[in-house]
Amino acid sequence: MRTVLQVLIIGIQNGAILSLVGLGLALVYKATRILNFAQGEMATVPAFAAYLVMTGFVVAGDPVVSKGRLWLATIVAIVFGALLGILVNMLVIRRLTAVSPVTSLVATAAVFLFFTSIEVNRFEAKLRRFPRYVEGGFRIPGVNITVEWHTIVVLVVLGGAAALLALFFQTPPGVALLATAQEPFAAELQGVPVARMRSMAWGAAGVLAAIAGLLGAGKFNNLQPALVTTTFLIPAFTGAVLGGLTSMVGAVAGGLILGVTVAAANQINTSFSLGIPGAPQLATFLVLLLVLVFRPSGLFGQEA
Amino acid sequence: MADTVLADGALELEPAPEPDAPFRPTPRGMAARIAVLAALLALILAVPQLVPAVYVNIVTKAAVYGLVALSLNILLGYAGQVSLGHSAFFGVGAFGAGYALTKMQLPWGAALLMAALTGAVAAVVLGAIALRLRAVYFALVTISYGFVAQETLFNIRSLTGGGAGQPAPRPSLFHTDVRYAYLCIGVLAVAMLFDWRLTASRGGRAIQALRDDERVAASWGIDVTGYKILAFVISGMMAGIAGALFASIEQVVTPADFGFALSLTFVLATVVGGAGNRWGVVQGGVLFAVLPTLIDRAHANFHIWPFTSISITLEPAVEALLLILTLIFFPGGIAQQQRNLLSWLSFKRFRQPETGGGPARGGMGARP
Amino acid sequence: MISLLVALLLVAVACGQKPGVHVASSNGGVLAGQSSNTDTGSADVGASTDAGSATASGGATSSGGTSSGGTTTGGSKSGATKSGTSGGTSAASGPVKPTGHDRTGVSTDKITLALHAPVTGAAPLPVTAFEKERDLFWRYLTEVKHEKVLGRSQVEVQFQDDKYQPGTAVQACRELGASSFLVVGGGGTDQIQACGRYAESAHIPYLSAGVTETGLTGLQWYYSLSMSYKQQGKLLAQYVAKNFAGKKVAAVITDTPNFDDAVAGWEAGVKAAGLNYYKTLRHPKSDTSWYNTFANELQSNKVDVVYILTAPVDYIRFAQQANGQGFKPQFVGVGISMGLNAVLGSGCPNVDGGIFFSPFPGLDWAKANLPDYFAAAQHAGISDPDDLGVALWGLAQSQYEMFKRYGATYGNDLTREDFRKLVETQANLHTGVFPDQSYTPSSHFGSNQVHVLKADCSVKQYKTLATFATGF
Repeated sequence: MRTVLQVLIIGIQNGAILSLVGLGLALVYKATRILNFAQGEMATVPAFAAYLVMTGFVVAGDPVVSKGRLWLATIVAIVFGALLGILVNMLVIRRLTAVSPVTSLVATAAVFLFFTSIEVNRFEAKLRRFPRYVEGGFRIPGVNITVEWHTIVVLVVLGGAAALLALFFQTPPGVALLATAQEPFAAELQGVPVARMRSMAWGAAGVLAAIAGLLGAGKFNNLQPALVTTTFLIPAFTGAVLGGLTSMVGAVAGGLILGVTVAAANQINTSFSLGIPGAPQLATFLVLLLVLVFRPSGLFGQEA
Repeated sequence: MADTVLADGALELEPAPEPDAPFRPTPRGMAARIAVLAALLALILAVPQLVPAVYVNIVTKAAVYGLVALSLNILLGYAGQVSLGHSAFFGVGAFGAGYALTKMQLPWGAALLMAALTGAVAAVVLGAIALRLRAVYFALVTISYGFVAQETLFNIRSLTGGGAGQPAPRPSLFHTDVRYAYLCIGVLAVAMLFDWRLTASRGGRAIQALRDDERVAASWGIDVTGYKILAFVISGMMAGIAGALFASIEQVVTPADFGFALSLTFVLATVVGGAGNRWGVVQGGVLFAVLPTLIDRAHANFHIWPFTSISITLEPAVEALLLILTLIFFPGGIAQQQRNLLSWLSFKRFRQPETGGGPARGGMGARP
Repeated sequence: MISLLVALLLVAVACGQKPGVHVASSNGGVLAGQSSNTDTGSADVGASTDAGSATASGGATSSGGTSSGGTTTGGSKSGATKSGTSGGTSAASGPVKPTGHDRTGVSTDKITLALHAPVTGAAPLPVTAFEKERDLFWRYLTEVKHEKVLGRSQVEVQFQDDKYQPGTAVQACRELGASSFLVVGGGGTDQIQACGRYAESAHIPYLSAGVTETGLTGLQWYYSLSMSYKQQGKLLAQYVAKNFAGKKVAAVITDTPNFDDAVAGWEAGVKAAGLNYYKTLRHPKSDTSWYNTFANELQSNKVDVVYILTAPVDYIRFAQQANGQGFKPQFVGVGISMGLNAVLGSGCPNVDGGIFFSPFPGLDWAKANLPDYFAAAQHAGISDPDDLGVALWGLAQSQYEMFKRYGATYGNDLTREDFRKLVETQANLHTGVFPDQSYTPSSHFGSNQVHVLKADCSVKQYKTLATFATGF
């Protein structure tokens, strides 16, 4: 029983960040029907911006990261993230003449490659320190795992953002945004400013990504180029699919479930010394299949 | 034969083209086309001999990537299925061939067949899953599939040869680098021929009907399930064969070579090449196989701006920019860029009237 | 548009073959063994060998110095002529005439060497360090001390990024090997193994710090410059037995086939040393959530000492998550990159006190014992030389020692076959940085020494606890 609880806690600690990134992915998809492979870099680049603010724009060697400027850095990162999202939309997405899952994936993948390359070029491939908002954690009596305050922060942000977005899509502007995704021509006829709505959606996704980047880097206290993409993006996509790509609640649930799945796989593999290579990947795939066989649009997805 | 203005200002319209008479080039046009085709063929055949010895394997890799792009095209361009785990079929073929060559001591040709078989099996599994899911969801499942292949399947020590990787020796007849390059180019040519006959066949047309709208296709009496699976089988077979060829380039296969980055590269190659057009996707594959080396060497050898500032770390940025520019200006990829040329070389008119284009013209295949 | 660009780049590649390639080597050394060097002029190197029969090998009994021969036929050819070679002070009989043909990367006044390392891809190593510091040693030697290496006044080190992929590494080694005399693998177990095996087929001398033995044992053209992970595992177990007697020990290792022999060596050492051992945990490669699970597992079982063999990124994160849970084991390990100060820069305070074997001593030791290194850095305009530079210095110095021995035996006519043949007979190659090496024809893993480093987070540097240690 204790092990089960431990697995749950570990799973949620890891899944929380996945859910946060996944939420951004779901938002973009729901609002624009685009699979945004650049979501990871839209998270990492603002994190680097925050890093620069905190080190006073010193990059060489091992600069001192001043935690005092953390809140200033946060604001800068969020604004930067919003702008970045809008920029990606304006310069790349809008100019694609044929927008399908493939083209959008390819285009955003190219954006990811581009940003990663710039990051390595400017910041080198090494790891850099990155602070958390709240250090330390607490223990539940009887369980050996420390619940990090950082995880609580992520969960709170996650819950708030998901609730906000879910509510937003119920409001008239939200519905209009949905219309631009599902029936753009009809929406335009109705007078919905499609382009502006899309920009808004991308801006919001950028904000979400920036927050995910800050919290993701804080989780391991380390920032490096392509951090969010290599560490969180693929599982985040998987979690979003699990929960249903068009559901905000689904993205949250999916990421957490995925985290628990992987934790369980690792625990089983370790406790019983099974030695199955790639156990987390295998478990992920199986759970994915299991869910999608019964609910092809994900747990909470609404598409037919 | 354009409209001409006569001396008295009247307009003499060109006669309307007869809709049913097929276009036949003039004898001079024929000769020109044949000459160009022959020159291109000669060039391609000469490449393995022309490049410096250290780059011959890159030529071989280019042929193999072209083959993979062709196989992915069957899913992406013809059937409208997005596969982001294609490195799985590729790797299964590579390890399958290696296993056949080393553990089962089969001759090389048999190992190739083994690779095709394993590739097909790996693809069928995915195909069965595809039956149930929408394209977008399926795409993301394929990512997970690719990871399982790389992390679990290719790490089973007894199958994959342990630390040093699985040896995969070349066939004795094609042992040298240059000869092996020709072998791979030959296989690619055969595959393109096969692809041509496939698209002309009823099965091929049925598969392509799936791309546009499955329900409409079903209403025409097409067995959607059957043809979908068929598309996966053919794609997997081809990718498996490509994997076997790849294995014998460096003659050893390790799991590290078959990651998600490779799957992504294949998709990029197919899309940039022009999904749905076999000439385009092959060029896309070739391009992505040689691009890193080209940029690297250009940086080393061209001592002028901008090449000097493209250091090692910025190479991906250059590739990414090329990609984005291509997608923006040529959503149909290279095939769209070359559509006039390709049309001319196919013994048709140089400038076709705009008809929106089907698969042979390089239209973007995937379904929204 | 794209086609035009590609065509342009193709021209770039075709025309711009790197100059200084002494031999055209049109078969790139891949085909059938011998790379033919037909340029007879090259044999008149520095006029140190006999001018007359310089290209004698045509008539020599041992034609085509293929490695498989491996016999010491060179000895029989102590042809009289020798002129004072600037390279080596030959003792006893005059220089032996080299019987090999392959003089790739060697010209009358320059020796070209090569290095490949992961600079992009999943490697957390600083890019610029490799490019800036790779030839510090040679530049210092030739430009400041004005010494010649085998009669040549220039030594160039080419560099290529292997992108942390074995496939890319092989191609990099192929390209480098076409124009350099030998190739050195900077890091990355899979890449070193892949290149080592390629070098064997292409008859290129290939050196690296010791990593895995799988696939590299028994190779003729590969030389390991330090103990392999497997060899070090035994030594590490001894170290733990001596310094952490009675404590419970476990291991956390990446689940990759190339570490299987390291695990075997470690577990054998554990048994031999009679350690109180829990178990070896192998962690999945592409996963980033195993840290807590493993930390919890080890903590629940009261493990005190953890042998960790993973990528530095995973080590840093594991230590962080473990510490967050109140699990602060004594970390021990082996490796090239684990012992770099860069790990401490981002890993402290969680990795404090970690003890690692390393093929090169720490920067603190270098400051006290390697003044030349800092002088060289200053000469090259590098303001803050780091421990990676010390490693590169050590690599270069090992090669220099080999060249000196070569010069003493063969004079200045440097060929690959003879170089390879010579090194495997050398004992006690002492460089003062990397461990001493003694090779035999049957073992190209010739070290039995390690340096011991301990992380000190108060200064964010590794402190050198012991150097050239052979046992504990």
